[in-house]
Amino acid sequence: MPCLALAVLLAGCGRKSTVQSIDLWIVDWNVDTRDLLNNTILPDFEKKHGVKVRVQYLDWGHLDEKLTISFAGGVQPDVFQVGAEYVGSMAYRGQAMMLDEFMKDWPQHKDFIPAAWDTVCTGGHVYGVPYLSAPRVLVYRKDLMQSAGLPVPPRTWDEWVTSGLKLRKLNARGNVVRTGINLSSGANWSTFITFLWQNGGELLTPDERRAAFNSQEGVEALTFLCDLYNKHKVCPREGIPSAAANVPLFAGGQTAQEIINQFAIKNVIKYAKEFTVDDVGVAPAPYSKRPVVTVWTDWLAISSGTKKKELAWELVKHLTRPDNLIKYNETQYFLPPLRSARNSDYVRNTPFMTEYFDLMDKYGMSLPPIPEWFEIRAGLRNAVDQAVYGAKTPKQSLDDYAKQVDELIAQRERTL
Amino acid sequence: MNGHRMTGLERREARAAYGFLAPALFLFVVFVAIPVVAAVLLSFTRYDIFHRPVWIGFDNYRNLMRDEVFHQSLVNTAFYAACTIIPGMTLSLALALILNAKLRGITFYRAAYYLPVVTSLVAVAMIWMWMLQPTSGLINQGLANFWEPFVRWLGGALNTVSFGLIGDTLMKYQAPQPSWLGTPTGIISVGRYPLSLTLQAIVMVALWAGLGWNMVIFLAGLQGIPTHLYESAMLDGAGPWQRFLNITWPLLKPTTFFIFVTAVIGASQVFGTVYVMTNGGPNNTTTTIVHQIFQNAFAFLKMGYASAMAFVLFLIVFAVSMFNWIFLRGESDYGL
Repeated sequence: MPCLALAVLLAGCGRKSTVQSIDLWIVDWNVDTRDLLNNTILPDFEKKHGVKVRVQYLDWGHLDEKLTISFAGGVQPDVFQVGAEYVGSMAYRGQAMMLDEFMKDWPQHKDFIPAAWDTVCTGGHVYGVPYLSAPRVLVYRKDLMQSAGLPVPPRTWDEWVTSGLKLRKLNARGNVVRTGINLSSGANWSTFITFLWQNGGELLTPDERRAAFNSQEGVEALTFLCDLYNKHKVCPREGIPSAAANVPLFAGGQTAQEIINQFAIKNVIKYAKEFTVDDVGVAPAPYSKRPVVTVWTDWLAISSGTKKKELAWELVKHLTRPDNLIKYNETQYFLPPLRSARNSDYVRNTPFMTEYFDLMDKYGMSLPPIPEWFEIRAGLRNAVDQAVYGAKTPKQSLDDYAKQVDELIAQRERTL
Repeated sequence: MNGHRMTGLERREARAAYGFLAPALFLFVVFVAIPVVAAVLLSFTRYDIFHRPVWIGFDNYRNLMRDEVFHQSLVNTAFYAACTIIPGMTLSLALALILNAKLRGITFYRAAYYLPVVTSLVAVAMIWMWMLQPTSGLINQGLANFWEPFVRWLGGALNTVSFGLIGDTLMKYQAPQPSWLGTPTGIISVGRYPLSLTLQAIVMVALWAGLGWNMVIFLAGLQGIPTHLYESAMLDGAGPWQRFLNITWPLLKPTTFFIFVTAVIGASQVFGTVYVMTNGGPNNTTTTIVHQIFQNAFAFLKMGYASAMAFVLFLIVFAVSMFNWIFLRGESDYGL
């Protein structure tokens, strides 16, 4: 009898082990996304390959910790989603697998929008596949600009200041109730990067070994940002709070213009009361030398430690197959980063999605893919805020921080 | 060593004692002693979990010397400690003295003041974040609601005594609506590091949240003081202040010393409130030493650098504790 029980047990174990599984971690999702993946996209894959996809739906707040712990413990997922700023650290730490070998048999990679594709490449190698994009463009109130006799849209920094001042609205006590331009005071570093690129500057030197943001172009860009707050006062430094809970400033009519992604349009459709989406326009943010659209693209990586490399690649290909990619993006109002997706029903029939798409394709730029990016970003936030709040001059602040960035990169190079 | 040879019984007892101690000792060595030694060693390396540690000598410590954010965290932690320890202890003692009285319903008040201590830190932080919200928060709403009647009353009063200009100006001055958790500036600075309004708001929350804990310990200390001492003092004609100064305060000295030492250590390690309410911002004006350790270790994966910070924190806490031990500890029990 015990022998029989053992045989049944072993047979059961044997049967269980024949069903191969693959682990997938998804971070950008909502209920519709989960239903789409669980009921359509993943079952298709499971049926085709005879495997089980074990999917975990995570949130951004815990992703870093979970990834770090799982990699350190050797229990990482086979395929996982990460954000626009990860490729440098993922490649340097050997977490994301280099995918160069798969590219020659996968012509679809040429269909990705360049700024989105840049997000997954570093050192001339490919480490992932773009999965969704969110470009940041100028969203403005056409109606307010027209009635104020302003150029629609503003094209240059000077025109922007003029319209920002004219469209700013104060109450009887002198408090700002509508900002001329909303500058997202919590993310001044991001606005600075846009201005820097618009002004012809770069964050790092072409070999990515030294800081370049303290160039003349960088100092001008930061001075412009400081002036918007402190000299022209188009927006209070601390920003203004939303008048209604969960209603963003633009949709709530509390700002006339903002550099923001496509969710601004979704929110106008959902929340705006005093105006409609017909009163809104989108354009590249006003610039001094070149128009720039910063593109934030989240992507899929294959874990370097996976023992199912081929299957993992098949899963990535399946998830990013044009029809699946478009459906996935549609559930969350993101832009599918494939050029061929421009003619999809989703992009064509969603207000302003085509405009966002074209601006991303034409003027898109992505963040530098270096291992120290997260630390550089934290320090840059501090350096930019020091200038905005007058603790240092823009030049002093950028010069001081550039030295630290140089040292940070040099430290890594000394280790190699 | 002293020439004493253990008997068989003593040896058996010693073996039994070590046997009983072994589990705790094993856990202590594995989970405390080894990690502490490893952390000290790591502080001399560059280590990101994914690559082998690289020995870099004192580089991490040299970098700490010129790390402005770390310096800001030292200033912020010192300010936090200065504003929470002595004022917090004073308030707790005052509260404990009040709640030591034999009044009806005193148990309810004791429980009420202790409630923040047993409430989740995250819940406390979230509630305060709502209260400190600039437009709809309870505090700014309260300021706005009380401000206008107050200035109208004061302005009117000044008008009646022929200070019309001041009165009129005052009435035009609107209620302050500070962005409590979004202001990186403050009236006072230490060198180039401002002690921001946001840091002051966090201190306010910490004072409120920590009041009950110290109060309960003071209360226990107060209840350990024999009542006959007070009775004798009263017979001798001592007033309340004299009784406090000559009986309560000296006999509370061990309790005060304990609270002070633990408060210093707690303030040096402040993290939870900061992490939940501001994550060190705006502009690093609320970052603290432990927040920097967390940031460097788990956001930037600079384990070596974070270990160096942790070791510096250990040295600070050790030095302050030794100072307290040597200079503040004293005989204080009147031989009771």
